[in-house]
This record gives sequence, structure tokens and C-alpha cells, in this order.
Amino acid sequence: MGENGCGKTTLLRICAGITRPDAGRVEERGRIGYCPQEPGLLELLNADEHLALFGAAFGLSRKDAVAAGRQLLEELDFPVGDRSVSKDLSGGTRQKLNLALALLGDPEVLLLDEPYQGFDTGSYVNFWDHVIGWRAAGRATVVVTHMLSELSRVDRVMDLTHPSRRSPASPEAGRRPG
Amino acid sequence: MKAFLQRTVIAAEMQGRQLLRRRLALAILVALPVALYLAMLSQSKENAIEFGALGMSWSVACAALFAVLAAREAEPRLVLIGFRPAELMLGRFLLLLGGGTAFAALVGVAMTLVSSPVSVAALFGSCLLVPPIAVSLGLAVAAVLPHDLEGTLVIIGLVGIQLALSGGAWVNGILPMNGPIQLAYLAGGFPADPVSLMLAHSLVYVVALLAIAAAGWSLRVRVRRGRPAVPAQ
Repeated sequence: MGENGCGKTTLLRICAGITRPDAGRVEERGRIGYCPQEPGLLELLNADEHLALFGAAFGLSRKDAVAAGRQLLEELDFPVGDRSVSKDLSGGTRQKLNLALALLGDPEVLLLDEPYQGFDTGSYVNFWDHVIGWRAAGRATVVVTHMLSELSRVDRVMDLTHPSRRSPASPEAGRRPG
Repeated sequence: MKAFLQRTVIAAEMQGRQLLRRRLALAILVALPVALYLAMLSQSKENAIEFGALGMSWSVACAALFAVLAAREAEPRLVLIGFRPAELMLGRFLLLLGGGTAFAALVGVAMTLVSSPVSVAALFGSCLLVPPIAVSLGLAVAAVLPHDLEGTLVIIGLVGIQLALSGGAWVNGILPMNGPIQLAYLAGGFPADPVSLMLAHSLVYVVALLAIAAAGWSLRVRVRRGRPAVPAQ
């Protein structure tokens, strides 16, 4: 968490390997699933076509990729079977597809950059339940968030706000919530 | 190798699906060379062949540019999860080359029927030489200048200069579309450079532009893998 512009997205992009750090190094254990804040989708492909394309990266056949992806989409209340191309989907529905693509292929590490933007209330609550489920299944799950109300449910909080600008109510960087 | 081919084919397929869904853009891409050809036809049916070929190069290069730009957000993700940049680029190149060649062949048939060229072979040579150069040009521009307006202006500039120049101008000889232009002159019965020189010129441009495209695009979608973590003691 942290104020706007403090580097949350940059940190996640560095962890994913998409942005080069000025200094330091990233160590990783396991395959990474990355869900960017701005859905990295192809505007003129529909959900099944996205699944087939992204699944090919893992060596999945089209049939297997679509089947596995549809299961993930169903769990996120995505209208499975909708043939609309991604640019015609609502913001929240696009984010669900974005999130499902990050989960495709069972990554061991999930990097999620405010993945619930545009979600309705039910989907938002459902998302945090899923986070707990992924964690319970052994996946390291990193979520960039502004939603302080959910911090009690996580194992570790990193506040990237500069210490001089941090409010007294903010958790200390790296502190485990009590 | 099988996985490489599978991923290249699916990248090409998805590129084709996206392109076919841009119906209005496709209609304009087809209309542009036809309009240029017909406009010049009213003045000179021999010179119209050159205009048709250069119009095609505009269309095909812009199609390649926008194909890359439409995927600029998604492709780093695809590389992150396992695609190689070469698979994405090769799939795109083959799809655009195939589509461009089919389009060029149709334009070639139409121009043959209307213009009655001195050399039909030279006319088709001119048309079929356009797609490999134009696709490579579009991919190279997209890799160096990955922005809609800037990229489009560079393509308009490069092809527009060649459109404005007469065939004998030395500047034509150093610009990418000289091969198709010279063959168009040959088809219209005008003096032109030797065919072997045109082909060599075009080949050098295709190789150089593809090298720029590959290097630039690989850098843009490059993923920096982290070091394997050492388990905590």
C-alpha cells in the first residue's frame, strides 16, 4: 500500500521483470502470475481467444486452456460464453478476464496490482475471499491496494509511503497486522 | 521446435482475427492504393502503376505498425509467461506478409487489366515486392517509435517522398521502396535500373528493417528474470 505515485506499481513491475530496477535485485521462487493495473488485453479478441493465446505460452492446447480458463472465469463471476471482444466488456468484467489470465497455468507467485478496479461490491468481497484461498493453497500472493479495511486479513503489510508523509495510523513497513 | 511452431501459429492466428475485425480500417487500407491508382490513371496509365504500388506500401506498412501498437500492453505479459519475442514477431510477420501478398496479387490483376502494362511480369514483381518491404518497414517503425502519430508520420514521410520524386532522382535509390518503383517503371515502359539491382536493394532493406524490428521489439518486451531465491536457513 502507499500514496499515489509512491512506486507500488513500479515495484510490482520490477518484481515481475517488466521494469529494470535502478539498483538491487529480484530473487524469485516459482513461476509468476502478473495482473497489471491496466488490463494488458488485446482489444479485439474475446475471452476464449485470450485464454487460448495465453494458454499457449504454457504449452496448453487450445481446448485445455479454454477449459481451465473458463473455470477460473466462472469463479470470478465472469459471463462465461460471452463472445464480446474485450474492448466491449465493462471495466469490471475486463478486470476479471485480466485476473483470470494471471491465474492461468497455476503460478506459484501472484503479483496483483489493484486487480479489483471496477468490481461491484459482491465481486470485490469475493476477490478477497479468493486471495485467502490462494494463500491457503500455498501461493505467495502480493496485492497492491488502497483498501485499508482488508489489511487485517493479510500476513504482511508494506507501506511504500515515504516515512515523513506517513500518517500515524499507517502500519509500519513490513509489519505483520495484529 | 514443435512448441515454437505452435506458439508462432497461434500468435499469427490471433493477429489475423484482430485484423479482420477492424473492418473499417481494412476498407480504408484497400481504398487508399485504389484511390491513388485511379487518381493517377486519369493523367497517365503508365505512371498509375507506380502510384498503386506506393499506395499499397502505405497501407501494408500502416497495417503492420498498428498491429504492433495494438498489442504493446499485452505482449510483455505474453513474454513474461513463456512466449519468446521471436514467436510473436514471426507470427505477426507471416500473417501480414500473407495478407499483404494476397492483397498485392489482387491489385496486380486489376492494374494489369486496366493499365495494359508493357511487362506484366514487371508489374506483378512491383506489386509482390511491396509486402515484404512494407511489412518490415511497419514493424521497424513500430519498434523504434511505438506511438500512433509519430509512427504514422514517419511512414507517410518515407513513402510520400518517394511518391513526390521522379524515378531518376538519386534520393529514390536510398529509400526503401525503390525496388517496386523501378519495376513499376519497367512495367510502364520507362527506363529503369537493372532488375538484379532492384531485387538486391529490396532484399537489403527487408533484412535491415527486420533486424531493427527484431532488436527494438525484443528490447521492449524483454523480461528480466529474477535470480532463484536461496531457501532461508
